[in-house]
Amino acid sequence: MGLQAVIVRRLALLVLVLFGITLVTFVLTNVVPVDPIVAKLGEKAKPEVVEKMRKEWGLDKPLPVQYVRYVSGLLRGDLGVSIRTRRPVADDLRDYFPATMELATVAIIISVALGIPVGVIAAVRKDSFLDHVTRVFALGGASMPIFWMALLLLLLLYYRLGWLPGTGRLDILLAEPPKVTGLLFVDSLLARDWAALASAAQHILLPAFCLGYFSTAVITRMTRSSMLEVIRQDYIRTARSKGLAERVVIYKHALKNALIPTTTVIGLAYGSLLSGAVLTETIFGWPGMGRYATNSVLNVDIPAVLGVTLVSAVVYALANLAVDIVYIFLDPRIRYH
Amino acid sequence: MEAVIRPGRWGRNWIALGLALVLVVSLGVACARPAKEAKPEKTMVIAMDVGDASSMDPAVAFETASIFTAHQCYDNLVTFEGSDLSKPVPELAESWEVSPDGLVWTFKLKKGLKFPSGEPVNAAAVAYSFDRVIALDDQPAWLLTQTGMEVGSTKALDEYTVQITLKEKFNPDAFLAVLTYPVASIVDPKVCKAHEKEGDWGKNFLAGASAGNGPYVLEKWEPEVQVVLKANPNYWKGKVPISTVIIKHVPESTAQKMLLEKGDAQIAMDLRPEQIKDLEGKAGFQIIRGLGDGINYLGMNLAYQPFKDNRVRDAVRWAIDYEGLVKHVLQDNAIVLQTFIPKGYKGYNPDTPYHRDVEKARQLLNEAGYPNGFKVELLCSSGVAGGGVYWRDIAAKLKDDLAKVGITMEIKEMTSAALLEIYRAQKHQMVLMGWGPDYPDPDALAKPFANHRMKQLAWRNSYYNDELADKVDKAAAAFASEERLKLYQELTDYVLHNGPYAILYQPRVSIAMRDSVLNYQYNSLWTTELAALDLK
Repeated sequence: MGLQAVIVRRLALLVLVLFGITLVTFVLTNVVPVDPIVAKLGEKAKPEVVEKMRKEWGLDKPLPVQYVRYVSGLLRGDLGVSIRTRRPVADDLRDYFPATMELATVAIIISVALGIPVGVIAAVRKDSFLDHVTRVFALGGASMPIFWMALLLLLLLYYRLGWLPGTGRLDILLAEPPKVTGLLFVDSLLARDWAALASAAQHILLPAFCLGYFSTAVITRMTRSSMLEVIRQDYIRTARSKGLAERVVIYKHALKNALIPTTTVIGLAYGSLLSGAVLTETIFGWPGMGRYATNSVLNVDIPAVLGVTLVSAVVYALANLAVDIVYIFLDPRIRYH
Repeated sequence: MEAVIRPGRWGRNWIALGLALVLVVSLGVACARPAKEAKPEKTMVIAMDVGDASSMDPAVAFETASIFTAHQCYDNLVTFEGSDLSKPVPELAESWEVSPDGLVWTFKLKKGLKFPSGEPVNAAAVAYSFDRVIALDDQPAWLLTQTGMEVGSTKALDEYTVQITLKEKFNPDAFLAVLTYPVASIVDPKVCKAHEKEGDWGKNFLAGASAGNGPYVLEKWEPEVQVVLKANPNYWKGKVPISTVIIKHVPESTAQKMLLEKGDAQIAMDLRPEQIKDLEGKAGFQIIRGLGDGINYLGMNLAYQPFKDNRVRDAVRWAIDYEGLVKHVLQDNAIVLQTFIPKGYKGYNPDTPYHRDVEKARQLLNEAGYPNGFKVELLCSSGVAGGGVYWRDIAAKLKDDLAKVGITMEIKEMTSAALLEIYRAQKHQMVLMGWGPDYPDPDALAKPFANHRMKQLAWRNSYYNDELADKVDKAAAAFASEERLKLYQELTDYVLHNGPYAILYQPRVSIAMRDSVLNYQYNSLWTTELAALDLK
């Protein structure tokens, strides 16, 4: 099957998956024994006001009717209105998703740029001092609570040393570049606003590093173990016996094959970073989708929860598709049927 | 078949490339600090959790952040000055009078005032504003409608005289208190009409803009990012000292504290008690303390058998170590309060007869037929209570106190939304909650705490007492101040000893700021008056 056909088939499957997800999420959010209107209005809300709002949001209708309404709205591109923010969910997501996407992308770039080279070094120099150091580094990433590390880094790099800014996406006194994509890097480049670009880059570094540390650790370990497996293979021995330089053997022959499992990890990590980073976003005051998702769940904001779930599902599916496509480039023997 | 490895085009210098990329990005970014733009004159940055705001329209605003913002942008007929919530003073109104039957209010407006659009602030604008709130019938509209106001109740008698006719009697003190609240803000009809869509009275537009003649204009509200307020250049009381106020959304208190300490914010609104203690006495900082108007209480549902007997409820009240709770758990960020009207309000009853008396509590339980105590389930929220500590910490202290008299408490922690669902359905046994009055009048507390017909706190705790409810109504209708205060004294006394609550404390509010901030006064209704602030 050609690559295009694979992509088309996977996208068609995605539509089915999305409908399944809306149904499951819809049922789950509705079996939670909490009234979303009471959650929104608080304990002082008069019963008549609760009733009025319930009607306004169509929550007085039977569940199947509510679901059909939701899906028919969805087909028209309408994700409904958030009970908590009172804005269309699509508008909310348009505001919050780019912030998370920018953060997750920089985080994954840092993870890949650090994780793969460090993993290779650890494998090539197995059991050396360097290998032990990388093990400690990876262990730290996998076990350190993200909020604790975020606060430590904030304390050190912002508060003590003053090298990086504290919270937010942009210097508070800078005007935001005109919104085109919502991605500050792109928007400030489009507007040729260099001050905004530099400020956005400074602001993203700390949260992105915090967010990416866990993935860095996983990528490092995965690269190391698959490299170790690959360099024991016959073809590596053959390459070496041909008299190729060790550097060529490692980087040209071994690494490319070792990267297949690492790619899977990268794809999944990116998907999970994109679908929300609650703690990082809270500590760094990052107006992203993680915080939006948490607030929506805590307030039983059903339309918003459904919207976030849909976006997360799409992100995961696309990340997986991207991983599968990368496989083909990494190993041309791979075919999808 | 053996796999054939094709030489790829993979770079040879992965390590160098990767490390160089990270290094270049990090160094480049760290070094390329943007030249800080010259700060506009007198700009103040406030670090605050403003995530709860869903609209800045005064007809909709009902959360701390939106009330705080709306109050800075709009004026009302009457207001409170500084921290004093006992006496409404004129704002847009010059004077007022009420008919002897309390049904007809006539306000004379100050002359010559204008909205930023140039339109006059007149009687027609007042009538439009009140009609708008009632017609929109959003969350805070009941504050006006409960007084007997409806669309058309407010009439412009002439350019500067406005008359409000109530359908039924409503206490004059309470009525004026309601008029101070942001829901009774006066909006510019021209701006609202210009932005009206599908009969929404401009509600969508005003969610993120302002149309008042207050000291500030809402320049920008980016949800989850910031609120930017600019001084109203034509403010009728004169130019305000601080031209720009940026309320930066910082949900995490540690980050708020760092911003304050670095000088990137001048005020941090939501610090925890231990963070406040850390800054107290430190050079360059000041702590402003005020009393919040919340009441934190332990509710006992009479539908749960043991609590039917007031001796058991009284035993619970005698079992609690109120002083220890305030001193050790709340770190003095609260005062002991045992009656339902908070300090600072008319009708406040300072009586605090209960203290920990294990013997007395045991004796009461014995008399009620529970010599070995009983088991009970306590619901508490997973969030933060007034006074800045987690509800679960207060619950743990209460569990320990009650265990000493033989009552075994099982704590169930859940989200506020889930807790409310159970509480509103009267399905709890005990609950740990807080209540904040909507307007500063004892009626706003007597109704929920003592009148079960309101279907609020008394009702939720299955405490049905018609005699008490009648007295609440009588106090609300009493026009003479002395008679009214006497009724509230009786009501608070009675509920203190017989009600379904052990009222625990009234939180203090501590706000940390740089010592360059001048004239900060806390107000439990709208946090503070930004127009009064200045910077050294």
